[in-house]
Amino acid sequence: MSQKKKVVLAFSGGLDTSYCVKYLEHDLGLEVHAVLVNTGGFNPDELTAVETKARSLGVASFRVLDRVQTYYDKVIRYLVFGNVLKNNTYPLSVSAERTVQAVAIAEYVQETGAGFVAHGSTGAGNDQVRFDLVFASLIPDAGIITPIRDQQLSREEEMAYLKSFGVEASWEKAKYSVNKGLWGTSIGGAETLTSHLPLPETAWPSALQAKNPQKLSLQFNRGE
Amino acid sequence: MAPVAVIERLNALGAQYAIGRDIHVGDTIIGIKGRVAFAAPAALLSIKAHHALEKHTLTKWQLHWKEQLANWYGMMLHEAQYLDPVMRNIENFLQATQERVSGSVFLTLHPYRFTVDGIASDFDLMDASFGAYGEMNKGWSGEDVKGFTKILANPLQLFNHITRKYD
Repeated sequence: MSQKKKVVLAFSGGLDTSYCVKYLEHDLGLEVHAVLVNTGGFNPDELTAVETKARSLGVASFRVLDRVQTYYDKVIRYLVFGNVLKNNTYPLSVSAERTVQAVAIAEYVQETGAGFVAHGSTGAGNDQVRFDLVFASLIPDAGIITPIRDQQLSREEEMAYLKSFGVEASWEKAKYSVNKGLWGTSIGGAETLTSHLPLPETAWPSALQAKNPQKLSLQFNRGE
Repeated sequence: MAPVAVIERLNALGAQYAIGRDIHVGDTIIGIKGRVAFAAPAALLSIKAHHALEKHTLTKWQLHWKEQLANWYGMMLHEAQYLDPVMRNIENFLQATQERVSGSVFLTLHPYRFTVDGIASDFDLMDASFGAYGEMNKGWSGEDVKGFTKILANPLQLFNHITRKYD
C-alpha cells in the first residue's frame, strides 16, 4: 500500500483552492483531504455544489465542518456584549469568522493525523496571518503549505494548469470578491481599491425590496 | 428564539431594506490600508439595539470601561490574536457586565436605514421617581447642588490660582 502523506486543505470551491488540490496532489505527491468550515455563509445547496467540485477534482476526502453555533458562542456574543464596530464602522464580519475557521481546521488536522495543512490565501491580506498564526500555535508540527502566496500565479496560469489535468470548469471572473458569513458579507472590487468610489447599487448582495417602514422589537436576556 | 436563528432572521429582514451597508477603511495586519464594502444587517441592528439597552441599564463607568476593553478586543481579534488568554479575560469581563442588560428594544426599519426608537427594561436606571434631567429634582435640594459644585471646583480653583501666580 502506498503511504502518501496527508494534507488538509481549506477548500472553498473557487479557482485558487481548486488549483491547490491538483498542485498538492500532483506536484507535491500528497493525499488531499479537503475541508470547508461553514460559519454561516453556505446553504445546503451551495455546500453540495462545493462537495461535487471537490470530488470532481479527485480529493481523497471532503468534509464540511459546521461551526455556525461555535462562531456565535465563542465570538459573536462577545462582539455584541462589546458593541464592537472597528473604527466605529465595521462589525468585523470576516476577521471574526476566519479565526473560527482556522481553529476548526487545526482540530481536523489533529483528528486526521495529517502532517500538512494548506490554505489558499494570497500574500497581500490579513487571512494568511490569521491562518498561519492559529496553525503555528495549535499544530506547530504540521507543515503549512500556501501555493497561491508562494507562487503568485495569475488566474490564467492557474486555469491553464487545471486544464492540463482535464479540468475545464468555467471559472467566471467574478467582478467582486464576496465573503459571506453569519455576521455579514464583505464585498471587494474595483471601487474599493480606490479611495473615492462607492459600490454601485448592483454590487451589493441584495437589492432593496421593502419600501414601507416596519416596526421591530428585539428582546435581550443578559445581553443576548 | 435562539440567538443564531435571530441573527439569520435579522439578516433576511434587514436585507429586504438594504440595511447595514457601509464601507470600512482600516489597517491590515501587514501594515497597509485596506478598504472594503460590507452588508451586515443583523450585526448593525443587534449592536445598535444592544448598545441602546446598555445606555439605560449600565452605569457611566461600566459603559466607559466596556468601551475601552471591547475596542481593544476587536482590534486583537482583527489582528489574529484571538488565542491570547487575555482575550478570555476580557470576555469574562464583558460577560459579567451583561447581568442586567435585559429588556426590549424597539426599532423601525426604513429603506437603507433604521432607527432605534426606545427601550423597556426592569433594570432601566432612568427611573423617573428619582428625578428627571432638566425637569424635577426629588432626591436632593438646590442647596445640596451648590455645596457639591463648590467642592467639585476645588482642584480647578487651585490650578487657576497657581497658574495666574506664575504666568
